[in-house]
Amino acid sequence: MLTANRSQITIFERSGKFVESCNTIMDYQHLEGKSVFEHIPMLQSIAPSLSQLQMQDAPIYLPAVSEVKNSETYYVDYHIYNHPEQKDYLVLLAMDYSEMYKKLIALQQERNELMMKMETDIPDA
Amino acid sequence: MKWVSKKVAILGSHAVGKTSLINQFIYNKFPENYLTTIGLKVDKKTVETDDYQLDMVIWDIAGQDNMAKVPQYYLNGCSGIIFVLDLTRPPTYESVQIQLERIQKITGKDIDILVAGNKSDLLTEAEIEKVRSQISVELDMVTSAKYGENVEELFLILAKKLIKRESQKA
Repeated sequence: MLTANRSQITIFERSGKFVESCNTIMDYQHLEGKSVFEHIPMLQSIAPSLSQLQMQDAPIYLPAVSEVKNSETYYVDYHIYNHPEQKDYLVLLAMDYSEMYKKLIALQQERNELMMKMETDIPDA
Repeated sequence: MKWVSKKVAILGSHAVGKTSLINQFIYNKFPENYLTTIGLKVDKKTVETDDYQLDMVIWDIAGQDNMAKVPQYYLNGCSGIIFVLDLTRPPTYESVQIQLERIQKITGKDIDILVAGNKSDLLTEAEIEKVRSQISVELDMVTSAKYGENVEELFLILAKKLIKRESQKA
């Protein structure tokens, strides 16, 4: 079973207003009193879907999202779902799988380079 | 000036230059070394056009040879797509029409899709024309992410299309 290096929970209102975050991976302290839709582009672009997310809906799952903090790249899986106790709140759960994804990138890179080499090696019919 | 935000996805096979086009458009940078993208990266650039301030939230989605394999949740709520092909690699454009149909099957038809032929700096004008004649759809733009040629223009064409669609709704 895969284990995330770290995880972060961020809570915001359905309207986008930031409520709180444990700031484990990304530092969202500056979002105090602001809208996450204005400051987190990924959430901004799916805001219409978020406003319609119902309690019984499956969480929105966005795997392997690349994030940069202090010039370092992290790869996180995002899950967005309704707060189980506060119906006006949504939860953004980020799970840091950087270690695993960085290994995967190395493999993918090797595979892509091999495929490109094979494309050029194919003789004309 | 009216403000509007739109989600835009960049799609295409691996190593066609999707990330490089975005880096050139947003940061005016071109990384010399190829580093594959996995999953996605989201960036934003605000452009002003036709009395609108448009936030283009750009989803750089990992290269796929088969567009049917792009996860639907990556494309949900997408208003525009740039499909990128590599002018120097036939496998990236041979099935472009089928790939565009696959994208539309996921997104529905109410979406603006542009097709960009990238890496023009590696070909002569004559070679580019030859490639154009071999591609089953019309290229909206021929670009060089490396030198920034037609990159801003490509995104601005899409921006104008998105604004036009928005203003028709209003």
